[in-house]
Amino acid sequence: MPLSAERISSQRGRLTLLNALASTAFSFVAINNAYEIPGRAPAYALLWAIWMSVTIIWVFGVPGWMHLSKRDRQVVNDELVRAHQAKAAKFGLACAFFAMVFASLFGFFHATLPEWTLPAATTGVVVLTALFFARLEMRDD
Amino acid sequence: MTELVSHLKVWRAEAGLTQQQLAERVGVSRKTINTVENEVFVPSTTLSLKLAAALGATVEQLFELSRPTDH
Repeated sequence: MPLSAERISSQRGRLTLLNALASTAFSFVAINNAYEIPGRAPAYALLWAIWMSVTIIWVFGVPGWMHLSKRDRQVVNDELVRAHQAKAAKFGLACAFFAMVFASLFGFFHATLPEWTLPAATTGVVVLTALFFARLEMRDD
Repeated sequence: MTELVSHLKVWRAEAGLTQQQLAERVGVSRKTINTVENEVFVPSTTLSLKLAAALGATVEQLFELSRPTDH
């Protein structure tokens, strides 16, 4: 049974939190297996990319848009949610910046970075952004 | 620092509406109404005008600026 706009709105924070925690666990397994089991690398990499994309879409998109009316979509994505998304975007950008600075500094002292650095940093930024958004949504519920 | 003081809760109660009913009238979630009433979230001009229209009040009756402190 599809969720109503009001129910999506009230449960969005908790669902985002759960997805962020699941994303962390899955990313650890996927990144680890992708480099440990070379034959399965493409499959794990594809699944990881899809999961990260879904997590970000859940934060910045409009959940349930396919079965919601235009008015319901406005409720799900009203100005409080847009304010939370703007704060989360600012936080995520700052995380991405510091992750890249850290990786760059690390690169100066080591000839090559470990191959998992980029996917791990991406996971970190996505998960931290999702957790930040979830905290805002749950605080105001 | 100047803060926004909300009288929305009083006006909504006088109108006999729940947060959910007011939210449905103005097209936002109940959570948004709750945060505006608790002065956590400052609504946009558009939402303020919609709230005022829904409650038969003016925006100035629903919201006012608190007096800035000297120190």
